[in-house]
Amino acid sequence: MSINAITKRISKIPLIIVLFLVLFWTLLPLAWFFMISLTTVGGMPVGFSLPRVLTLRSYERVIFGLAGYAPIWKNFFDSLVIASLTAIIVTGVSILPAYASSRFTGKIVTGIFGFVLVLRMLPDAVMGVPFYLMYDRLGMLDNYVTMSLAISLAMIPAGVWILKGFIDTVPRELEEQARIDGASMIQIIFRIIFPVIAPGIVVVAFLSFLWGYQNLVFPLYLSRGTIQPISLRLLGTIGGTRVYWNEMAALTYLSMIPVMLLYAFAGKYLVKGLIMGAVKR
Amino acid sequence: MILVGSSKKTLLFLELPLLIYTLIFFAYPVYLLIYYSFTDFLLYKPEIKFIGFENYIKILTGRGTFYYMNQIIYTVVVTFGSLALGMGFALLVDYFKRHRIFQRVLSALIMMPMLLIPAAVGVTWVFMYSEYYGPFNFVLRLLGLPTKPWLYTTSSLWYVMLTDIWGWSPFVYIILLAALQQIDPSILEAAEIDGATGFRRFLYITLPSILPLIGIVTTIKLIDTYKEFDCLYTMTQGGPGDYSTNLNVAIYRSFYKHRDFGTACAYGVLTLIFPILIVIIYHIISKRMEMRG
Repeated sequence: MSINAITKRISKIPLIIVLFLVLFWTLLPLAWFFMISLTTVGGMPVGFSLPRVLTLRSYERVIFGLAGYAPIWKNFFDSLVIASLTAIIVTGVSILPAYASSRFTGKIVTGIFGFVLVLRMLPDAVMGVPFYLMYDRLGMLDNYVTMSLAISLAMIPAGVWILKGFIDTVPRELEEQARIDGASMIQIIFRIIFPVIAPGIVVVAFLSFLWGYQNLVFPLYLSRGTIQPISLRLLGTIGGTRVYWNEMAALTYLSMIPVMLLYAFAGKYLVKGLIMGAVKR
Repeated sequence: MILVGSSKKTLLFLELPLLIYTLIFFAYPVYLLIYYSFTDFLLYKPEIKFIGFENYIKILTGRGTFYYMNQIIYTVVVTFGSLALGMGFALLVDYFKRHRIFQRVLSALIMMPMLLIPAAVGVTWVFMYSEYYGPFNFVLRLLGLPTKPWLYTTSSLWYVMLTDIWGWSPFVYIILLAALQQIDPSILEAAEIDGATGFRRFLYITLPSILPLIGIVTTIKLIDTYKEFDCLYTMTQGGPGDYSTNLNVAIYRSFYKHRDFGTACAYGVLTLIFPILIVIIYHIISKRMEMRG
């Protein structure tokens, strides 16, 4: 081996160390907690070693709800209902304003577009109290629809921005041709714009779904115990008198499944949405 | 675009869903928030009295300023921490652009924390910090140091910040990687031929071309971290005592623990002041810029 090749090899060492550190940092918590989910309370390692017992018992307990442990099905059901409703509400509310922002100019449009920025900045925790007071008065606590309507608030801006970005790319000649043929604005939006921006609608729907799925604040404020999405269940496992770490770990990994599926089937859309939601304004 | 007929009416019709939604789910709740912040609304109390600024005075002369500080520190540290880390990840992954498959695998691994919802991130890291079973204490034990109940110390807020950075740097990474991949490789190649070192290439070509996006990501992260509740509340519930309580957690604590809705609303209004000020300043600055240029 020539000196040159050796120095080239040595110069790669820092890079390899950095790579190792990066993976250690991102993956150690995930891998370690996953290992915990596969063992028993008594078998948990107390040092950097493998657990003494390997079993799927904790998953069994969490899924089937053995020994007084509530089964996870209800939590998943609640989460998925809230997430789907959030996706529908955000898409439904933001599509027409997005079209307006794309096709109209003037003070009203820019004003509304700027106002949407304020919605983006509202912390959920701040809005929790007034939503509670409002729904309590109307007897609408513990309700999937009202909860999703509250969760949607912070996601509307992203919905409008992303859809506007997609509508901007639709050539206006397409619409004008239809208009000459006598189509109304609603017909144009539903027959011409909708099919072309279908990917944009998918992006917004998926992002809002994720947002609804992960939301903790509004279920915390607005649930009286009947609705218990997975985020609330995770929070509930903390702070008990006896801590079953293996079952908490199993619950954590089961809560990843919907997100994983979404990324597996629509990862490209989600990443695109994240980037667009960040860039387009 | 040529508008047919009465364009104002059409515009109103298009904005209608947003207007109705924000009237009911934004304007009215905000009105309730402000209204009740001036009352002594406690649960199970027969009548609500109007008490002026008493809630605000109570907060600002009490622990409120401490929670404000916590919120600001948390926001700044987590934003710039995840920005630095995400930037590092993006540069590392972009470095392997000639090894497509390796790059994809590395990217997927770096994005792994994004699969966890914030509450799950919290649970995972409570375990990481656990006194007997947590890897952080394994390291201390290996070094022969006494173990530490991390989240039960007065600096628990800082350990939650570390968790938040872990969970959110992948988001920054994705956006910055997209920005890096937009840079025309021929410019970098030309600079390399001209003899620019790696660091100088980064400083004079890479950094200026991704600077606008860094600005946007920073803004978004500042906004999102200011809203932080999930991870913090899952991990410490604002404790021990109230050492890791920020404004968002303070709202929930007055709401849930003390059932003191008046104070909770006052905390809410105080939380909103900061973002509103920033929006106003931003508008003034952009107006000035427009007038000048």
